[in-house]
Amino acid sequence: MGWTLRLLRHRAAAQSTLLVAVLAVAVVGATLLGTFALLLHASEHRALDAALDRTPTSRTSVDVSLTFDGQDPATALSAADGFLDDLLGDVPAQRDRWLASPMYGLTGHPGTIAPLVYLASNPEVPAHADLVAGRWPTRVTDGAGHVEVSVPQVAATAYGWSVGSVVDISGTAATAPTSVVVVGVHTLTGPASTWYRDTLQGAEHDPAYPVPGSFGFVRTDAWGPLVVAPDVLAQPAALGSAHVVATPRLSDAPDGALEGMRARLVDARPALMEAMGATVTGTRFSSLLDTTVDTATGGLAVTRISLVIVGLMLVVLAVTVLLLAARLLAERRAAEQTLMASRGASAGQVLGLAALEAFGVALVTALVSPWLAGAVYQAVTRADVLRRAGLHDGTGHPASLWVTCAVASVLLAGVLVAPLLRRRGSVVDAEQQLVRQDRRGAIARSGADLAVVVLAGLGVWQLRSYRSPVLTSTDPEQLGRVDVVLVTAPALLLLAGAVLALRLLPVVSGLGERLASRSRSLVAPLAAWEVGRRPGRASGAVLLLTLAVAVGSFSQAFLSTWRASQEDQADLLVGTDVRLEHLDGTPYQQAAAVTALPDVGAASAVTHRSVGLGAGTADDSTTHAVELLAVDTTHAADVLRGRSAPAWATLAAPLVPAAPATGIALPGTVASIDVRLRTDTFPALVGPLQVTLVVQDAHGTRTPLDLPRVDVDGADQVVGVTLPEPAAGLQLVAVVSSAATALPDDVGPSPSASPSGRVVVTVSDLRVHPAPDAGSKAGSKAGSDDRPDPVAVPLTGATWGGRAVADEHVSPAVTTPTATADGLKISTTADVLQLMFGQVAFTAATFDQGPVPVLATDTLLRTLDVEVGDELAVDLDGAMVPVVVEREVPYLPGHPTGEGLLADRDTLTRAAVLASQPAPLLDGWWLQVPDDRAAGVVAAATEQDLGEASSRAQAREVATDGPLRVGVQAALGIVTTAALALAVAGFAMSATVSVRTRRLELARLQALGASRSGLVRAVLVEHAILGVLGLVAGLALGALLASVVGPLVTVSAAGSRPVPAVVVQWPWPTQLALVATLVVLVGAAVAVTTSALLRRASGALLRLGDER
Amino acid sequence: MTSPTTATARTSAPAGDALVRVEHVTRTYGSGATAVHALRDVSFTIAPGELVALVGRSGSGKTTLLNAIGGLDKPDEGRVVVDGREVSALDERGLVELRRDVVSFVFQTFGLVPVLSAAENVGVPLRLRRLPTADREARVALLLDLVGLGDHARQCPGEMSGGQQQRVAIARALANSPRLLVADEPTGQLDTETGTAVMALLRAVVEAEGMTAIVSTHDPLMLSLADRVIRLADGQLVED
Repeated sequence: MGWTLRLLRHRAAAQSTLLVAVLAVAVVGATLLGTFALLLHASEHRALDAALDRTPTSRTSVDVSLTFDGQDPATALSAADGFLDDLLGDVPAQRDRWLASPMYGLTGHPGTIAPLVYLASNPEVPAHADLVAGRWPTRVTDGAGHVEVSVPQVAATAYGWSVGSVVDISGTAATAPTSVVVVGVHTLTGPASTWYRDTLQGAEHDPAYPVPGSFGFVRTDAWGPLVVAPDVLAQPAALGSAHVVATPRLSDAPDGALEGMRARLVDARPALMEAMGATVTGTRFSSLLDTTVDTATGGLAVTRISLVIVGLMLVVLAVTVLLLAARLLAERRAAEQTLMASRGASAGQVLGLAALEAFGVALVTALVSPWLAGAVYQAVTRADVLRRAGLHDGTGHPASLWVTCAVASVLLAGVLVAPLLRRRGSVVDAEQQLVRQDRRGAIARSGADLAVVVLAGLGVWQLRSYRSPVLTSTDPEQLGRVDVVLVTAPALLLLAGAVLALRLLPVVSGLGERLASRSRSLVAPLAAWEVGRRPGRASGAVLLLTLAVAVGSFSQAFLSTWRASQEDQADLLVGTDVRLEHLDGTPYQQAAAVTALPDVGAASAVTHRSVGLGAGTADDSTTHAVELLAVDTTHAADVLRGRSAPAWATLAAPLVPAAPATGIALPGTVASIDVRLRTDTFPALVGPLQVTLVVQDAHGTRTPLDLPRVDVDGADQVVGVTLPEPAAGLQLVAVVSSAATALPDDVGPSPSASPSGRVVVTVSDLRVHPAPDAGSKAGSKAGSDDRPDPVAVPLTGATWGGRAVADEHVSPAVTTPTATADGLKISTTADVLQLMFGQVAFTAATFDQGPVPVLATDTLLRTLDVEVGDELAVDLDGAMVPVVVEREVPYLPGHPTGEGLLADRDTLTRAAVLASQPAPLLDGWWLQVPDDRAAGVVAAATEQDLGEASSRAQAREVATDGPLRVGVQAALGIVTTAALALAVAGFAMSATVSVRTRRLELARLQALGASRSGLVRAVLVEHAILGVLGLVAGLALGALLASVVGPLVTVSAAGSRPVPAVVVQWPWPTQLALVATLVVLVGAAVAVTTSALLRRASGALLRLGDER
Repeated sequence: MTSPTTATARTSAPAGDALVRVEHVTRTYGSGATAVHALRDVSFTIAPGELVALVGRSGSGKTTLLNAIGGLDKPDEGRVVVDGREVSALDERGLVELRRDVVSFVFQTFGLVPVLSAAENVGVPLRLRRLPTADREARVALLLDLVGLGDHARQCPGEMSGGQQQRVAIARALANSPRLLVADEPTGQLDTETGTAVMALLRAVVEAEGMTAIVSTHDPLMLSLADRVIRLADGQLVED
């Protein structure tokens, strides 16, 4: 052993430069792989935590909803807490209770049906409530035994309550409180989403609340919440409903807790029912936590697999560089080993010597690389985008880093020994092997090459079959699983491409040799001869450069492709620049507020909901749930986003209405509208009539204004409606009437009656009350004395058309509106039985509309077996609106997959109104906003409480730079840099060894009159030839990988095939910069090493006699 | 273009008919107790057309002297003038020109580039002078014929015998028609018969090309073929 160590020590000292180069390559390789391990570890922990931290609580909270009917609240709430404890396990969570009493009647008020109130206690008070007067309740009752409450200001105003008022209430339970005392007056604040667990969802007043037990037939005013101290609702039978809400702090969960909780969520509903038993009347479990966890872990799995794919390419590159180093080392030591063999050293001893040296390399590598990897990781993650993703802090040196570095070190050290396993013969054989390839070796290499090509082909075939490297499965356990074939396919294709490129090397180098031989000088021919006639040495360098360039160019192309695809997906998923949803207020209020937002270009009201889709015939009443999107198609180019060919504007062109709808202009700023109604029926019928005026604002948005119900009695009745907020620029575009008529009680059906009857609604004397101050939005109140005089508006200023909706099984109803100076007479003829026993709705409108043209997704057409041109019917809140399929599209903005329809919203709502459905059908707004202003618009919308705002730019950022996604970018950046570094190191090493092993040859050429600069040029040209070959092959291979593998490994956040389909990107500027950097660095490295070596070598080696 | 240093060296060369002038050359390797005095105050001249045999025991300083004459090494003291150029004063460019145009070498181990054919090896010095391709090919063919290897032009050194390789090396040395041929033990790795043939060839081509040669050797045959014998012992000239 002693001689071995001595030999190693002496040899290391003699060949220190080479050994240091080899060690450096091993350390660099292991360090890069260690960095990948850290990235993976950080993604698994920090990024997942960061992603979960950023998830809104609405997607993580667990809501146990309970309904009571006299049960003991304490027992039920305790059971609910126990259930949540069991469900969440070790995951820490915040626990809140939303408690509400049953509805109590307000006693002592006129009318047959008492208004209702409810007592409540919830965590949003006082955070999202303003105290207008008094204080919040702090105790159950006051000294007189009245329950302390804070009442909504609207209720206080309506009933004249003030602090100190005692209000009598009544409930069905014997223990129900009989009176409350007002200690405070409040208004609720915050977005509507804050209050969705409230009985009135934060509205504070519902004028038509269904009276409990009336099945919705009897309605009255309801007010609330009357905020009480929590203990009030702990009394027996005090609770009507309760929400026990747990909001888990997922990032604080200990290891394994999330997995356990996710498993328990599967059976949460039955578990809740079992836990609650008879302690409550009803239970409901609602939570998106399972989806949230699945989405996060799914995203993590996709990132993990992407990292593995890229990491395997890095492994191929690192191993190749080290193989090159090992071969150069072996070449350098060939004579020494042959000498040792000739002096009696066995193959085992030679191998043992190399193994011992490799062990030393591995040991140093394993000890150094984890620390270097930590430093590299810290440097890389210092970038803002990675720091924001939570990848920078607190990663440390986890066990996975040490294991990765150790395994990489052993692997790379093993590579060093590999060349020694080849059979080596005599000294002459050894010399010959440097120049020629032996036939047996060539056959073996051909076999290995063929095997790699076949394996790569199989892998790519499998990848194309799956269309993704991620195993998609409904089972969350399966989602993150790595399939060896799928993830190794890209690396195998890389290797296969490189070895195939090497097969072309002899052909190309032979051609180059012939061309160079014609030169008069020595430089070019010498370089060409070296490349062409020492194929082993040349192929190593070319293979290295091919792989490095291929990995680098593929990484950049993949990065661009991946980013573009994620952005495409985000664009399509959001569908527009900025979305506003769940806004409060009437359509014209929303329109005014939305269009006043800064930096908003076009704004489109949007109908965006799931609707029933039927065949459109009376014979087929089956409906199919589809997603309906209706936007202002005149601004399709401005508001619709998501890559499409043809563009959305072109696709939506057939949907655009021929002309905007116009109606009767209502002058000035309208505060309220009065109208005279008269209803005549033939035969004489009685019953309520509901008339709704539909007004259209300057943005084309339509708002229904319900007039008070009137009786069908043939008498004139003046009714009025106050607009929620005065508005200017309104037009009356439709009058929708709905009558539920019947025979008077004292009149029986007449057998001789006509088969058809008639309802005539006359709308006349329409007067508009302007707001007192057109510039002020406050202070307008119908009936106040200081308001300006009303303005009479004739109804003859537009052409009216009519349509009726009646039971199609009886007979069609016909509506004919006639506008005269006396008013608008809307006459509807319908089946008399329908009039006597049913309900008939009819509309007079200033527009007409046939079937609504729509774009339908191919999935929908396939599912329903429908073709372009077919007519269908969409169920819009009970009204069947006919639509006709104008064109087939693969997807819709906001709906990347599934069955959907796109319509023009103006057209759709016209058809809905004509179908006597005056509801606004307004689900949100889509806005055109420049990307750099989107965040500001979202912030402004949130500040102004304009519903829930989201932007395409934010979605893009999450998709590309989100905690669970950014790891891919970091990995590709590291791989590109690594490819550069390894290529430079490998080429410099190749040049070093090439010059060192040929130093005597080069010295003799100097003795023959070759200048050192000429020889340096020859070596440079030689490496330039290798470089060009490697660059061309590498770029070609990179392009092949990008086009074949890129689309297959670019997947959605869930690991599925992206929609829209991936478009391969080839970023020329980046690729050219990569090549330029490589050329400069490699050229400089080769020039410096060659020049230095020749300078050092020439003096000694030129001397005759020093030939060995 | 001749560098100033070279020009100065040429100007300072003494007039006379000697092609090689070695004046008081001393060369010592190392220093102190381990110093090796390879050459001590060696002086001699070689006239144009002379074939000089340099003999001496191993370590006597033969190779050091040849290195100094060929510009491959610089003496510590004294000077070497070849073809009017003071070799020890030449800069890098001057040395390159000297080796390319004036002096050529024949090595004991032949010094052929293993990946090149015989013709390509012979063509290397001609490429260094950027001879037109046709002229180069004609010259290569002539030289290979001269050394009797006209039929082996496309063979690589590995496919040739030692004698053949040395003949290729001689052809290469003659390629640029140098004024001085420096050969260090040219038959050292050859058997007697081959060595004799190589020596005869060397004698013949020196006469044919009208060049001067200095050959270090142990071969008695070479001594008989030489015009003059210079003997070294322990770095000193002991016989001329």
